Amino acid sequence: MDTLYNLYDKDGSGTLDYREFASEVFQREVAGTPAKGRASGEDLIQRLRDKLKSRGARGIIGLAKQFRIMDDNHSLSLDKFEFSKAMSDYMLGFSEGEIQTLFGYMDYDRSGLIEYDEFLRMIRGPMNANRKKIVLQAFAKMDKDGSGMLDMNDIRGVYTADKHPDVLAGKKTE
Amino acid sequence: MRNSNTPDHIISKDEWCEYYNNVSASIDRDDYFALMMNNAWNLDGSMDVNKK
Repeated sequence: MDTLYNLYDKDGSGTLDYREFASEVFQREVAGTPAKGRASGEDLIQRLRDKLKSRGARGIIGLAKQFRIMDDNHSLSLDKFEFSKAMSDYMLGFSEGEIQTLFGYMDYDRSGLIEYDEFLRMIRGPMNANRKKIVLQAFAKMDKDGSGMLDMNDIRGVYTADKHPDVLAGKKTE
Repeated sequence: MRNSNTPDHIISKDEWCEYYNNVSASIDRDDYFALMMNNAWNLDGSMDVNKK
């Protein structure tokens, strides 16, 4: 039982989130191919990132432009058809199964569409170490009691509402 | 984007980082990101108007 659970709980978080569950079940049932030798979503997306980069789509504006090109019906989201067409246009050499895997990987909310937000967030990936440091620094500044959680008391310490228009007008109190 | 939709009035470190992952995705340059964070949270203390 534990072994099975750990197999599903890929990030080792001790909880099965929907994504972990769905990706495991979905891959096994639909594709039916063994996981061995299969490129993971992260590998595939890295290849897509490199490809977009080589096409000069470096910044946000470049990525947005590529997205608009892929988005044939201008719906601000990519359906499976638009996505697999774009992947063959890019000549990445992905198999049909790999395109399905990548689509499922990028469609984080499992809506069946890759929204622009999802696309951008996926292609950009997580913050680099430098940015992460700054973000944690800001968190630590507010988290006065070092609990790893921010609650109302932490916010009260750093946020002043005394310049809010409603407070100045006497409509609300701090 | 990926934070759960049920507000519990507490921000965990993970939620905080996830929020800034999303902000970060829309900012190209590292120095601009640092500037934005500093302006928002006054990390270097230079804008402390309350302490004179």
